[in-house]
Amino acid sequence: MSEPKVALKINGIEKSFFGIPVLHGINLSLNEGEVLGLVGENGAGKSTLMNVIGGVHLKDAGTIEVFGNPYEPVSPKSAMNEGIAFIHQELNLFSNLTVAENMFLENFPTGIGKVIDYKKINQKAQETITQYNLPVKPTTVVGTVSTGICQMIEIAKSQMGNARIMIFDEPTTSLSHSEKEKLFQTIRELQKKRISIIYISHILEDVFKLCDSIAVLRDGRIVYDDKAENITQEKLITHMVGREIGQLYPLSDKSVGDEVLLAANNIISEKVKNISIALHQSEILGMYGLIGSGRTEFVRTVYGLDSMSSGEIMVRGEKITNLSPETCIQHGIAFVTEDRHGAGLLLSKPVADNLSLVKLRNILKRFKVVDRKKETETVKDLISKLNIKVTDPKAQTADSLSGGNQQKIVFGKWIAVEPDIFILDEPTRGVDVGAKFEIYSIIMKMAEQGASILMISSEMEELMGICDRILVIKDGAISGELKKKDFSQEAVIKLAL
Amino acid sequence: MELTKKINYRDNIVSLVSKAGVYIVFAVLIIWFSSANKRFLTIDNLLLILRQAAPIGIAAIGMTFVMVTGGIDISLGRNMFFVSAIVSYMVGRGGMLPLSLFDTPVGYLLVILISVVLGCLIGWINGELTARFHILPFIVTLSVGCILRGIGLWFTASATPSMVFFSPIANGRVFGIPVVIILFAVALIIFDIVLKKTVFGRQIMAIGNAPNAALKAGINVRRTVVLTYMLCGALAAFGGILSAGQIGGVALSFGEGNEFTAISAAVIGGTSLFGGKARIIPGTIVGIVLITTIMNGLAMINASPYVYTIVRGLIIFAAVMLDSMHFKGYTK
Repeated sequence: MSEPKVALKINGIEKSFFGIPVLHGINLSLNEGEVLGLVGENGAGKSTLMNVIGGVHLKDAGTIEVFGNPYEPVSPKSAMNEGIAFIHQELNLFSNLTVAENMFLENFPTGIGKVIDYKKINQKAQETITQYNLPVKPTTVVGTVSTGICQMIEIAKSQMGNARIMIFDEPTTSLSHSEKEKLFQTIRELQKKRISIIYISHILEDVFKLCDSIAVLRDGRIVYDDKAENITQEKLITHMVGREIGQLYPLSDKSVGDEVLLAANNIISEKVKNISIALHQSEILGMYGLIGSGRTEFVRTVYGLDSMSSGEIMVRGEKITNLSPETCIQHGIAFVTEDRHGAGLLLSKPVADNLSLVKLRNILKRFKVVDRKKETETVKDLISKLNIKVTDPKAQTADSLSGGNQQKIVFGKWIAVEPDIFILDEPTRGVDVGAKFEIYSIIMKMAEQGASILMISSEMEELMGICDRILVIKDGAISGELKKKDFSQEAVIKLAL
Repeated sequence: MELTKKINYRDNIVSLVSKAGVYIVFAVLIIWFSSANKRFLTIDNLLLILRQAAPIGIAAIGMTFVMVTGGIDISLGRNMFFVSAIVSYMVGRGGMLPLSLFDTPVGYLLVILISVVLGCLIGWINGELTARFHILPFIVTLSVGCILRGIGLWFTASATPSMVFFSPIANGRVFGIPVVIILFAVALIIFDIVLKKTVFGRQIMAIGNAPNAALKAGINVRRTVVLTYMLCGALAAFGGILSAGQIGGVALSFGEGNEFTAISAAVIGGTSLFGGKARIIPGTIVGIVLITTIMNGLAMINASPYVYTIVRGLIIFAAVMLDSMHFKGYTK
């Protein structure tokens, strides 16, 4: 057998931002028809590397070859011309344009006066749609279809542009289970067509499932690069975080109390069809469900963010009247959302401001002036307690930190007021392996101290790792309940599908 | 279940009002005005409304393009004042364009050309400051507008220079149809096609929807955004001289508040302040005609002059509120 052709060869890529080196001489090689998994913690330099290849950032040093020819990326267009396509975490389709318009946006065929040849683009788009068996029409407005289908449209689009190298950046983040399966199937089909693929993901199971070889990026260096069969998941994690991790989940001998801290009785709202739960003291209750099952809607309703048509919320046996986020906070309920950027954090504000935000009203001096000294103490205390990696909390803004540290800040601002009920919606989304463990530890510690935790997650493994009980939600109702001893992936999936 | 129904009920009302509301308001007002004054529903008056609507309507098309990208042009009204002040100065006190030029089409073409070039220049400054230096378009265009107003006042020497020379176009008729209405109609058709069917139109829709993704899609976002501001500047300038020509002079208050009329016309017509969504036909045309009809009707029923600005304010507020209620983007 002859040597496989090298599709992409990266030699000694260096890149610094404002004098701080982010990539230190990266060497990487991707064969034709190979799926290469690229893993690493947040901040390891994966995005920077991809942005360099994609022509978004200019490299400082090093060379790139595409099928043996030198490639000098200067703008996103250069990548496109070389047949390198990106499927990003956040999709790059335009929700206000049609499928056909999106497919041809970079290169509209035009007639007189730059008027778009709609007949041609709709016809060609239809051919692609048929080929990929997509449930859309060329004239469908993209904003009306699901994320999974949008992603398929993007993949189909990249193939129309004859992409030979495709880079998937966290493509499964917002996909449902079946959409994910379809994506994997598509990736394998692309591989059969000798397309070379770089697959970036935090979900290591997926990486092992899909990839021929795996490269680990840590602190701007490639620390491991070999065939996938030559490494175990544990070893991979060690390479990623740069130290041994004893276990993935913190151990605890806490016991669940008898007192029900939070009870939601017969909650009915637009997407929720009669859900009741009872959350006990020191309990970590997991909630699993596919996207669209109504799990997020349920906790939003409990927290008073969405209106309910019937049902009641009781905290320690007392009914909350005038349910709203404010009354929930007064009753000691904290809500940590999956959308750190939108709802959880003031991104452009310093870390200190974020941490003291909820606590502020408790540390007032006379005339409602904030007690600066106490504020500083609170912030210092939280940073050491949660091990947040920040050098100057008063100057560094929240968005300068990695995803894991941002999430710790979200926790921190709530922990400051010592609530006894936590509602967590995807608390580890976009958080890397090392930081995940720390977040699990924080959750576990809170439970040990008597707090009750309701946690939603799409990652079944983490729910099985730290929860005492798992509720599975399907079509807006509870389809089953699993005790710790009955936990298994099969059981959960069976209830969820 | 009651509350669920209430939610749906509210959503339904919002969507109904935002879809058909404009037409309902339109119908009610026409009935009201025509019952209050018999002259309201005459051909002459309806033509008058269209003639009044046309100049700002042309400017509002430009505003629509800027708004599609998520921008806004607060300098629009002052651009109209500035450009009219400059051309009236060139013809009048400045004496650069002798009146004899207007015996042939040359004079008119020259005036239009100068205005459009000035308008483009204003738009270019607005666009470059916004797109290159990432300053909020609201602030950029507000300050540019203030500067334009100052320079314009300087050129008018605080008098009301004559624009009568432009009257043959601004008040002229071809086959009995006012020229401004024809110009407005032509502009509507051309720019509706530009928005809906050309590469430029689709690209600005993409930019308004997701600027970063547009950049990654290889669209020259900066240049495209600057172009929308230039287009807006040019159309505003052209609308400005038409409007001043209709009146016959450039009064000190000329153009004031027109930017808000243009914004409300666009928003009433279905263009979103959040970008990425626009309609010119029937959108902007319905918007501007509705506002002009209300102003005309208020005059017809002899409303107090103070009422006008109050009503204008209410229209803008209602339009923007509906836009926000309809917007299902990042607020949730």
